[in-house]
Amino acid sequence: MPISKVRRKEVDSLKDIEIIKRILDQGERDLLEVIYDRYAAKVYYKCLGIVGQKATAEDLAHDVMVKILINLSTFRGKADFSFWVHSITYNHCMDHLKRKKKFRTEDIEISAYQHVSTEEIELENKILRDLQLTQLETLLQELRPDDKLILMMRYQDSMSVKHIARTLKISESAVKMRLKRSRDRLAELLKVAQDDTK
Amino acid sequence: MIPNNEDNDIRSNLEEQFKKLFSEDAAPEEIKEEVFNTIDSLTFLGDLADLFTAKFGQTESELLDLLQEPDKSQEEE
Repeated sequence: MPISKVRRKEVDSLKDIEIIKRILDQGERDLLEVIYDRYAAKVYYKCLGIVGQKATAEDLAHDVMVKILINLSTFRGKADFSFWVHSITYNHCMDHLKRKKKFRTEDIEISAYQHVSTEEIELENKILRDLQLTQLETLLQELRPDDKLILMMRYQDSMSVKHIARTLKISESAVKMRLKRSRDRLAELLKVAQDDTK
Repeated sequence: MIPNNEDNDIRSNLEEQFKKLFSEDAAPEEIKEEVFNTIDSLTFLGDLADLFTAKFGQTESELLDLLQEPDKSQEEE
């Protein structure tokens, strides 16, 4: 049964952790809906941003939200609840990409970056410094899912390299390499788009 | 050395643009219904499973106590 307006108003100002305690300690199961309403959109659009297809994003968001709501007792409360939600979302999306073979697990050759000229690096940096929202929305459709995933972790959720490494179960140096490569691809796509419009 | 050209200007612009993505939108309504249907089903299955595991023993012994000493349970109430 949906939560009443009065009840919602009563708990609206409560922090996530306080709501979770009431669900777990006092069995106030109707408050699951409050947690759902606070996070469902973020989870869904994160999934959509990564996989790019509405139907798949809906399935993924469904699974993530179920996972979150039935595992509230495993949230230890050490970090912010939203971080926990984001980690579960990214993990679930990464598993999906791995199953679809769209998440590359191979190591990246560092030497590949040693031949890039200073001018090229400067140009890429300028492009990324000037990137606008409308451009990003368009380019996201062209980026590889694993590039989108790591860029969203870093820039949408401000996750540290350490936290990303722990979530994706890869080394911190691998995270830095992947971030670098994903930024390069983003800049490359933007450069191509800008050249096309000239 | 690991290449890292993430200077502060790039990072702050990327953060600004990425955070604006999808910031105003709501999730499709049908997901909510499916999520809570799934949770209800899982809860039901969990309750059902409890009958055949640890809780079954507890429930069974409470029921037996009640059958053997019905007056005692009324007194407790």
